[in-house]
Order: sequence, then structure tokens, then C-alpha cells
Amino acid sequence: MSEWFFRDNPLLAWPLVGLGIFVAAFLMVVLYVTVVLRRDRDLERMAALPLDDVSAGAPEEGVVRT
Amino acid sequence: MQATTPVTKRVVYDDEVVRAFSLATIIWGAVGLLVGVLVATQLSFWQANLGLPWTSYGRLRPLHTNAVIFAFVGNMMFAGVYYSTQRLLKARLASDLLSWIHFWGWQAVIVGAAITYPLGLTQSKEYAELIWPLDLLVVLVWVAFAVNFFWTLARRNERNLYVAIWFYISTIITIAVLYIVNNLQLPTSLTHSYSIFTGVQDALVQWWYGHNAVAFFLTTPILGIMYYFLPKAAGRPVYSYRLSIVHFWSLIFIYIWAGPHHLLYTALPDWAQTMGMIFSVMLWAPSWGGMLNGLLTLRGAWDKLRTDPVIKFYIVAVTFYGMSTFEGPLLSIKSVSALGHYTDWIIGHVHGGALGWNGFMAFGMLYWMVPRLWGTQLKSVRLAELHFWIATFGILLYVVSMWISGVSQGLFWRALDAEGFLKYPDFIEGLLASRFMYQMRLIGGLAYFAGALLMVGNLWATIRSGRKSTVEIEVQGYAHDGPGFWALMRGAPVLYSLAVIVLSLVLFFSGTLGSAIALAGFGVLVIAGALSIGTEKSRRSWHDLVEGHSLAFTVLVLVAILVGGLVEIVPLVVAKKDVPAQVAHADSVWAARGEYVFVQMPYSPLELEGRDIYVREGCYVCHSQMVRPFRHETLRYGEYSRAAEFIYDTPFQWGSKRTGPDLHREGGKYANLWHYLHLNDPRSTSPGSNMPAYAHLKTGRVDYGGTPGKMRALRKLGVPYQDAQIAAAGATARSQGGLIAADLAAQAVTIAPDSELVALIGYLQRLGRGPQPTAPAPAALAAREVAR
Repeated sequence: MSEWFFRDNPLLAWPLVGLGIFVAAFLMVVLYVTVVLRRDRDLERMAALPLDDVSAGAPEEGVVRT
Repeated sequence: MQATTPVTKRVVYDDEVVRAFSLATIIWGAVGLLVGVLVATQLSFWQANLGLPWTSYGRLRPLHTNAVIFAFVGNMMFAGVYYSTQRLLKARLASDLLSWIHFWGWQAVIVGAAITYPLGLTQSKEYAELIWPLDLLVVLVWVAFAVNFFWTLARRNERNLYVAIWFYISTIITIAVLYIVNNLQLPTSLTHSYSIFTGVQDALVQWWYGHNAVAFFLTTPILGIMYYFLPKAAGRPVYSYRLSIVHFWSLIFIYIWAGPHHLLYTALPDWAQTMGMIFSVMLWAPSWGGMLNGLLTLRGAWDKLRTDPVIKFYIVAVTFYGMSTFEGPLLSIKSVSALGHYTDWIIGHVHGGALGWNGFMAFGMLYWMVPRLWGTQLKSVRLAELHFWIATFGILLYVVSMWISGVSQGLFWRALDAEGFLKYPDFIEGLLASRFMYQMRLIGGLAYFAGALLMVGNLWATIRSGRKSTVEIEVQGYAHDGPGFWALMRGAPVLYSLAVIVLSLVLFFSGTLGSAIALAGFGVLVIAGALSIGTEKSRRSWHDLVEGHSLAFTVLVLVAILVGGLVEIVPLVVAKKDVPAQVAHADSVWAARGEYVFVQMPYSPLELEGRDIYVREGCYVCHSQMVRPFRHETLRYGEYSRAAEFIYDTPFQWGSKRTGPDLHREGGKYANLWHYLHLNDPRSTSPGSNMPAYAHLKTGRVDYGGTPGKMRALRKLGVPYQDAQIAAAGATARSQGGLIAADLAAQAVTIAPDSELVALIGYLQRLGRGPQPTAPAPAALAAREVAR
């Protein structure tokens, strides 16, 4: 089967190599995020970063001069 | 970066440049949409071309696409990036000078595009049409942007990099790589150049760029803006930060591979097409993950949807993002592409993305940000609501009409009768059937434009009612307790990235043994990585190490995008020597037997100049030069196109849309007189056509003084022009032009042999065929002598 697949052009291996690299990288990221970062409290602080900033015109956040 | 003692700092944000980019967004947005309305009018009513060379559809369409992408969305992106980056990093932009170089440089590029496109100065590569001096300016401006951004990262007062910053980093890095590679060119004059890539390679590099311009200019920065501004507007943190991590890495890794889906069923090698299709389908997952993450951020705040126009714009924008990223992979499936490619379906798809996703995000961001930048309230919420509903109606009408038109065109072109022949052999019939939908599209575009004008008035009144505000905050200086520079360079992420780069190079450039070793090395890396994660309890995690250090993060992003680019492009460059340089004559008996009968020959000087006129007038905007291997296409156009036929084509002219028929086998299909009449007045030969008239080509003259320079440049790129051919370029061109002029004169048409129209006819008559006569045949010469 594989001999038949690659007979016409050995370059056909490239998409498979690419797919393999992607699958490996994707699985590593997913596993890392779901297993290692599962109890990372810092992520909650990071998720709230946009709400922690100072917006011009919003007097409750920082000093706004006009 | 060694450990330092925390200190309290006062930071004043640079919102002046944000205000400038916001105003530029508003102004250029209106201009881009206005040109869009004009070109939509031209497609419905050809008279709107105004009979002027610089207002013809072929020249204005690139102006519209560039204005919307780079002027409207580009300025919006810079405004959003600079506004959010300062606040997420709690730091002022590093350099005011660089900020203003960035702003004015970008406006100069836009003005340059607005001048050069109507003049017909173009590279003819979609979304990369700028001539080389403007390309250089883009690169300089982008470098200023990148330096300013990364310098600000280095001076930040917030240790962690929020996910929006990740998307901005990926944008800066990837666009730099894409833009430089796709614009590698050999100048022949101040306004003209040839791409260093030819034929199939040029097509692949262009769509690797074109697709990823959508990905990394119109998507990743806007996703970063979504991740910042949507939580701001909703008053809630993003739904899942973990999901955003997976979203980011999978999106940037997959996107870069998907470019070949623009070239399905073309002469591109099959493996590359298949790879593009597979990765495009895989894009569904991260795209929808991001969309859901955005929508679910509104959990518990859906009531705001009733009262807040900003939230309304964001929700529709994110919904359009989901719709476009569903439709894109769908269109990338080969059997769907066979129907949808070259049709208006693609036009509907890109407008759903550009106007629905990008446009609505821009509107939402401006309505939220402008009042804050000028320290006031939005002048009229009701007017913003009206804008929302008009724009929503407009974009829906636009997209739906293009869907109907596109699917109809696809079915129309492929329809066969009971005997297996074309049911609708006349291409113009399909165009006429689409006319009503073109008019609906025009109404939709007008509505969208009218909504934008409401916004311009509303925001102008808002700005006048307020005063520029300056924000000053007090922050704890970032305690740089991470590793120093060299410790960071020895850290796992950087070492792993370098290992991946080295192994990739070994894999790509070595033989079987080297490739096997490289693959084994990848396996070892994966195992080592897994083990190090499992045993790294006492040290900082990978995530901390990577996202807390912009250098390591940037290196990883670069690796992620380079893998896809290398895997796609390197094999095709390596395979160039394998592309056969011989092709069968399209209508020869040998072609039927599959035999090659003559070597592919370069264009004659006249054909070369004619080709440049074809490029200048933007003919590729409506005419493809790629016959796909389908029965209905070969019946309509002739033999399907082969890779070897394009080895001397730079820039390639495959096109991406068929408002008119394919032209790859145009040579010899019609007489010179037909082309003369058609170009002079398309409706004289094709009643119902919406093509602009090119009567100005009759009086335009070709300057053959520049032809030898062009031929010498092409010779450097591999086109086998001989010294004698180059030396005789002008005489050869005039001789060939004389043959065409004589043929027309015999039919009572007087035209100068060196006119642009004759050169264009010469090029069109060459398409899909071998060399054409450049001098009278000996027998004809003898007959002429006898007659004399």
C-alpha cells in the first residue's frame, strides 16, 4: 500500500510528515493545557488582565486628564 | 534581565498615535467602501467605468481591496494594537518617534497605492500589487512597528503576556516573513519589476502569502483585539483562558499550511493541493474554538445585547467569524472548490470575512474607544443602533446575493446536455443570469456604506463634544525575577526550538539516512519534552517561561509558522528541475496521443510587452488563465493547463475569478479583427458583456526602448533569451506588430503597428500556443516582391 502510494512521487511523504508534526505539536499543547495548567491559579489573573487596565475616559480607573 | 527591586512608576499612555490611527480608520474606511460601491456599480452597469483608463474596473478593483484590507482594517488594527498593548503591559509605547514614523509611513503607503493603482502600476499579485518602491516603504514601516512593539514589550510593567499580545506577536513576525518572500522581485525600472518566482512556484508563493495575509493581517490581530475589547465591553474575563492558549497555537500552526486551497485543480502538484485541503479542514476546530470562546465571554451579560450597540457589533462580528471560518474550509474541499472556485461564491465569502468580521469589529471598537480617547460619551447611541441594523442588512444582502450568484455560475458552467456537451456554451449567458444578483449586491454594499457614513457623522460629533484625554497611571515596576538573557537562551523553549529548526533543515536538505535520523530526532524531542514537563515540579513551568519572555515566545511562533512554509515551498523549488520544459501544442494531433512535440519557448518581445499591458489593465481580475481538468472546462476552453506551460510566466496570471471566460487557450480562437473590435467595444462582439472598453489602447504607444532591459531581467530569472534576440527586440516587436496591423488593414482597420492594442492582441494570440510568426513567411515575402 505505502509503496503504491509513494511510487509516483516521493514528495507525497511531505504532507504526511507535516501532518505528523502538527498532530504531535497539537497533542502536546492540548495535554499541557489540560493537565499541567489545570490548577494554575495564575491563569485566572491573566484572564482578567483586560479588566485590570486603565481606560482613558473611565474615571474609576487611573487619572484621566482632558 | 536580572532581578530588580519593585519600584513605583508613573506611566502616561501615548494615546495621541491611537487617536491618529482611529481617525485614519474612519476616513480610509469610508474611502475604501466608496470605491467598493463604485466597482460594484461597474459590474452592474459597464458605463460606470466612465470610459477612462484610470477608472476602469481592472485598475480600481485592487484599489478597493487594498483600501479595505490595508487602509481600513490596517489602521484599525494599529489603533487597537497600540491602545490595548499599552494597557495590557502597563507601559507607554517605547518610542514616540517610531510611533509617528509608523503612522505617517503607513499613510504614505496608502496614498502611494491610491495613486499608482489607477495609473496601472501594479505587480498583479492579489493583495500584493504594490510596485517595488512602495514595497520597500512597507517593509521599513513594518520594521518601525516591530521595533516599537518589541521594545515596549521589553519595557513592560506586567510580567505576563496576555493572549492578545500573543496574537500581535504572531502577526508582526508572520507578515514580515510573508511579505518579504512574496515580494522578492527584480526591478527593470522605477515602476516595473518581475517576480523572481515563475509559473507554478509563483502561484504557490503568492497564495501562501495571499491566504496568510487573510490569516495574519485580517484574523490574528483582530482576534487579539477581540480578546481585549470584548471582555472590556462585556465587563467579564474571557470565557476560557486555557482554550485561548490552544486556540492560539493550533491556529497559527495550521493557518500557514492552507494556502494551496486557492489552487485546487490547477497545475499545482497534487500533493500540495491535498495538503492545503487537509489543513484547511483542520482549521475548523481552532477557528470555532476561538469563536465560541468569544461568544461565551458574554455569559451572564447577554442582557447588554439589547442596549449596547458595541456588544451588538462584536457579537455579529464574532458570528461572521464563525460563519466565514466554516465556509472557508468547506470551500477548500476539492469537490466543493470544483463548483465554487472562480465564482461569486468566493466574493461573498471574502466579504463576509472582511466586512462582517473585520468591519463589525472595527465599528464596535471605534464606538467603544473614540469616546474614551476624547474623554466624552458617544454622541448618539440611537444613531449607532441604526448603523448596526443598516450594516447588518447590507452585509447579509451582499453575502446572500453572492452565494446565489456563485452557486448558479458553478452549476451553469458545468451543465452538460444528454449527449455530454455543454448545455450553455456561451459564457455571456451566465453573466446575464447573474445581473440581478449583482444589482442586489450593489444595494447591499450601498447600505453598508450608508451605515459607515452614519458612523463617521456620529463619531465626528462625539469628537467635537470632547477633548483629547491623557491617561496617567501608577504602577509597580515589573520585578524582573526571571532568568537573565543567557539563562533564557539556554532555557528549554529556545533550545527545543533550535533543535526543531536544525532537524527540519536536516530533514529537508538531506538524503534518506539524514531524513530518518531527523525523524528519530523529532521522536526523541517529543519524549524528552514530555519527560521534562513531568519532572519539572520544582522549577517554573514551560508556560511561565514562554509567555513571560517575549523572545522565547517569538522564537516559538517563528518555528510554528516556518514549518508549514518550508514544507510547502521547499519541495516545489527543489522540484523545479523536474518540470518538463516540453509541451504539446494545444490543438495538435500529438496532444491527443500525449506526446510532447516542441520545447516551451519564451514570449516574443511584442508578446512580452502585450503581457505587461494585460497586467497593467488588471485583466487577471476577471479572466483566469488556468483550464482545470474537467470535461466541462476542456469542452469550453480547450486542453487543460499543465505546469510546464507556465515556466516563463512571471508574474503568473492564473487569476482567481471568472467574470469573463478563461483565456489560457485564447490564442488562435478568434481572428485579430475580433480582438480589435472586442477590446474597442466589448458589446460589439459580446452583447451583454460588462467588460470596460479599452479604446485608449489604440492610441497608446509601446516604448520598445525598455524591452531589452526587461528581457535581460527575465534572462537572469532563467528565461533563455539570446543576446541577438535581446539586441533585436525593438525590430522584432515592430515586425510582429506589423503583421497584425497588416492583417487588420486587410479588413479595413487602420492601426499603428506599435500601438498598445496590437501588442495586447499579439499576447492574446500567443496564449496556449507555441511561438507565433514575428516576420512575414518567405513565401509571402516573395509574393510581395513579385507584386512590387
